[in-house]
Amino acid sequence: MAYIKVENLTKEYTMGEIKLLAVDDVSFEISEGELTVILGPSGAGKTTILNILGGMDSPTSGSIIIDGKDISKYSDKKLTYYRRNDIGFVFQFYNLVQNLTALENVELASQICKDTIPAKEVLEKVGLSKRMNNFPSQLSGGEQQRVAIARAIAKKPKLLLCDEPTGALDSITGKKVLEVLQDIGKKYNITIVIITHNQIISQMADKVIKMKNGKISDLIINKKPKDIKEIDW
Amino acid sequence: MGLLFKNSIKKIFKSFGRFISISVIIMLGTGFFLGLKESTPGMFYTADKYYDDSKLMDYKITSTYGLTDEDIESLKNLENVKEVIATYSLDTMANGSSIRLHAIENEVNKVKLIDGRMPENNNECVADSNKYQVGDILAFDEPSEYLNINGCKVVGTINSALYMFSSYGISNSGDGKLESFAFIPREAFNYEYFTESYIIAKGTEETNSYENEYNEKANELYEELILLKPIRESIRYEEIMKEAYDEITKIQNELNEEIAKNQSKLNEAKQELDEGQQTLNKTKQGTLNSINKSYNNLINNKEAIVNELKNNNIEVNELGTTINILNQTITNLKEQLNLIEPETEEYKNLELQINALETQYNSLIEINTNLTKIEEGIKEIEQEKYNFEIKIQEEQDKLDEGYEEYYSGVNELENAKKDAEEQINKAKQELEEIEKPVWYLLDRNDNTGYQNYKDDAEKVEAISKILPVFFIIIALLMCLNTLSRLIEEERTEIGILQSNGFSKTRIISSYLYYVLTSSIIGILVGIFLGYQVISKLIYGVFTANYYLPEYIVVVNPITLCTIIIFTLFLMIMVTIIACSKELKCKPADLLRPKAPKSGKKIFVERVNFIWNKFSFMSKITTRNLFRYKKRIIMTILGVSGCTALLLTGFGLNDSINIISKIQYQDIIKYDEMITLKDEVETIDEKMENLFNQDNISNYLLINQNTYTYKYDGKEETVYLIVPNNVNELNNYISLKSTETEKEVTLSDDGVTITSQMAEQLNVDVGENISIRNSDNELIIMRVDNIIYNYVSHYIYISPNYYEKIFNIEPKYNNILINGNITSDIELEDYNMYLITKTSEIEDTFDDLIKNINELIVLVIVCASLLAFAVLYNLTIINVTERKREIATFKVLGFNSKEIFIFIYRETFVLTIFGSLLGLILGVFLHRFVIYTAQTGSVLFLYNIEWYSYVISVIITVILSLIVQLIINKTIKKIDMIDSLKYVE
Repeated sequence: MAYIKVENLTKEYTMGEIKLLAVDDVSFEISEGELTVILGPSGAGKTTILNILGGMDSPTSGSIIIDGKDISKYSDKKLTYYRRNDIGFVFQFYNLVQNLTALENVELASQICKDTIPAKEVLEKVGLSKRMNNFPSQLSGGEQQRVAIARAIAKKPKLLLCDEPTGALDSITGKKVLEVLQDIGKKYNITIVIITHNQIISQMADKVIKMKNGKISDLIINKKPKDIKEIDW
Repeated sequence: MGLLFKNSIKKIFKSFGRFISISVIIMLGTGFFLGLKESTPGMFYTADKYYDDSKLMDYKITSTYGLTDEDIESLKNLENVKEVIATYSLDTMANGSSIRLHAIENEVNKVKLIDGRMPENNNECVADSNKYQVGDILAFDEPSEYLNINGCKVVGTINSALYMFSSYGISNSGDGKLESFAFIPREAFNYEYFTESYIIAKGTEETNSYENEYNEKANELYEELILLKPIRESIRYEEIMKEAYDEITKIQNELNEEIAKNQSKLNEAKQELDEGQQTLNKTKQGTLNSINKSYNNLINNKEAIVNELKNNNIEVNELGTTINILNQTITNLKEQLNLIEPETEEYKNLELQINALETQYNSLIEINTNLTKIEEGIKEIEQEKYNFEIKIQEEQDKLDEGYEEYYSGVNELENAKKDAEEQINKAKQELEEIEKPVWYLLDRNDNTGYQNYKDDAEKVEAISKILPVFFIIIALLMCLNTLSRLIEEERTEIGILQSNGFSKTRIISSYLYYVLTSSIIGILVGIFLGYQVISKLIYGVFTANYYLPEYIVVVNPITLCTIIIFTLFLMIMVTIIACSKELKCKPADLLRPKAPKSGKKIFVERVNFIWNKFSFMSKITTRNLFRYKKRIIMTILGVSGCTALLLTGFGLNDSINIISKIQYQDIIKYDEMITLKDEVETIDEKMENLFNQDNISNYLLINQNTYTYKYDGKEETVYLIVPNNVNELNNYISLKSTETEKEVTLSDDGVTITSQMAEQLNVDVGENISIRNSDNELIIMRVDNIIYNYVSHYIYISPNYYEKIFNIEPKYNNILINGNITSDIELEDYNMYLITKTSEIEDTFDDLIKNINELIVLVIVCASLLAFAVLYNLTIINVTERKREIATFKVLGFNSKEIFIFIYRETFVLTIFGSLLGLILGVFLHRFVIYTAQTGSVLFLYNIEWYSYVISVIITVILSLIVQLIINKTIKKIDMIDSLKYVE
């Protein structure tokens, strides 16, 4: 039984008089603990899928069943609690609260979730134990992204969604961030969905969904995903 | 340029809320400012125009003896006189209530016809529009000798500038209160003299009634009038005296004439009588003479006979006997003869003898007959004489009666003369007692409404001195904040424009379109709001007790231009400065969004033991508070300003409302004051009986008179009060010392004065004050005590000190009573002129300050609106600045309530902090407003009730909450996906 089951997902944007079909009748499944990469050029509809999976957007039609619950029909309020309890987000631009230290940014999670991993512990896991009391502006991009991952992980989410997590980072830093993601995912058995246009990243995925013009063009299942350290950048 | 202009227009519609909020704040600022500032000039102008249109008199002259043509002529000859109208009025009773009748005049005090038409004959009139309707009949309760009519029909209703206030003043008839007025044709009056004269001074029409210029013009005439007054009074006095003397002389002459006439009548009568007497005497004498002559003849004859008889030896009285004897003898002889032979000698002898005897006898008989005849004649004459004498006596009696009459006539005349003289002397004496005529010179200030209106308008002015300035400063400050923020947000666009080669000037002017459009809309609506809404509202509120025409908007070009130029200048400057700041950056930098302010540790964090006690959210809030310093300052400034305005408003309400309670309940304790017609030394029995009847056991005689004093070039009226009994005064008026907070008793070597007067004159206990009486004489007194008092100025003085200062014993003209006169009495019967109830004064005072309360409501409403606009703007800025942060929270799964609390916490803290600061600011602002408003004779307390502080804060907090709830919708609308896509 699939942990995530997307069926006939369609998302249509209306901009003025123009109708844009961002996602066109997409179906796929993801199993629990799997690391999935959605690959595709910009405008392929991958971010839309991620947003819908994360409860930030609702589909025009189709169903998204996560852990047995169809979130496509959720109200805003339900979606909020879905985001709060089940989802962790990592963005391209980190989206840390500037006025909070690294530690405090992670502690935000404990403000809304009851069962959380202590902030210090998570920060140690992402290798930032020495920079906990620094403000985002005092951290490098990679460090900031690791804080963002720590914040997402601290909530013990069922699903970790990452939108171009390395998009704003240089390759070495990006590799480190991905390493953290992979390690953490394994350690806490978190289902991870990463969106990227970087082919290389797909090597570390259990499942790669390739998208083009709002449709799935290819779906590859990696029987043996590579460890991130083994991937040549 | 065309495109940039188009862009500006589009921007207006894109950020319509922001655009409107700038307009609204500017509108509120200018509207409130202009509305309050321009109300007083407008009120003055509206009234002045009404006065000019109705040709309201500048002076009114009445005289105790009426005015003559010569009086009027002399007034007309004054240099500064424009118009003198001699006319009539009469206080009377119609349909049971007091009414004053005026003659209709076209040159002065013209009436304003509200309904109907002007009278066409003596039986028609126009009357008070507030009391009568067209078709009503005025029936005078008693016919008056001064009127040709006994009533009239109301053919029109009117307003008159003489009666512009709801209380018309004092009437000579009825219970002393004038209830209504009417104007009737001149011909309906029947006076010998003019009752009054209205004067319009030269040049006053061109000036504004309540300004100094008017007073100067009017004063020029006053100087002349004050000089003319004693002259005319003397002339009139002499005239009256001369007239009276002439009258007396005339009466005297008439009397003299009458007396003379009577005298000559009497003389005539006497003459007649005298003549009668003379004639009578003459007749009496003549007749008596002739009678006496006849009588004498007869007596002579008789005597001759008697003598003859005597010669024959016969006594007259024996004559009869002799005759009888002779006869006997003859008879005897004859018998003898018969016995003798005839022819005997003897016979012959005897016969001879008998013949001789017979001859003798015959002669004796003859004599006897004659004698009898004579004696009969004598008797007849005696009878005649007797009869005559009776007749004469009768005549004499008649004459005597005439004489008696004459003499009583003379007596009467004498008495009449005496009486007349006495009467004339008495008249002359009375003449000496005729009082000199007095001219009363009244100006417009004696018109209750005229003076009150000025006070009311000045109250508006007093409140408008500082509040609107404070208001507009806050408004502009908030506007500028919004504006600079708006331009900061536009940095990307500025970058695009700059990178495309638009010149800085063109870019700036593009923003100026936006700013100016918004400002000008705000200013225009604000001007309309100020002049048409707020000013009219204030006018309506303050003239609720007046009968005045509609408000006329007065625009003071200087005020208007100042506010427009000031506002626009500031807006333009801020636009240019804000744009220039952005334009300094390189276009490439501008194209990237400005990085959010990075986090920083705040000083509280360094104090670990405090910081550690903070909850996570408190930490965030505290740190955020210090993150945007400009926003904090602006929010605190804005909120505290609004709270200060609110507190000032409520505080003013407290300060003013408490006055009447303190003054008329705590200080003035007597229930009624009876003003007496004539001064007295003690209360007479009649009055005492009345008091007993009405169960009034406490009363105090006082003397109350008005004096004046000057300070800062202003003249104030002060009441000097002398109580009959210094120990009882505190039962009627509380004299609480400002020094000891205890009630004081009047001493014999100083006066007790009220605090406001002491303040104005800057005197302390032990120092001297000088006041002036109506004759402008200076009176100097030592101040012994200063007491609390809030309305009017008073000097309390003991009878002994009064005697020392004025050198006369005080007489009393008022009675203070605790209790009420309940009996239905004719005031005049008790030497009363007026009964004033303290509660009624309190009510009147409350009515007056009710106007201020409504003005305060306006201040509070405007302050609330401003507070709302300010908070809205600041919060909107707060939200847009932190859009990304909010989106992050949303993504993390914070629900909208949690986000609302998170955002609101900061604003709430700032609002509370701003409010508390505003309370402090408000106390000062309130003091300042009270201080500047403190003019004239009402002392406002620097008093703010505790609940006013609470309400001010609560209103601010509630407004802030409402704003947050509105903003909450904006927060909900923030799109997570879009907000998170930007580069950091």
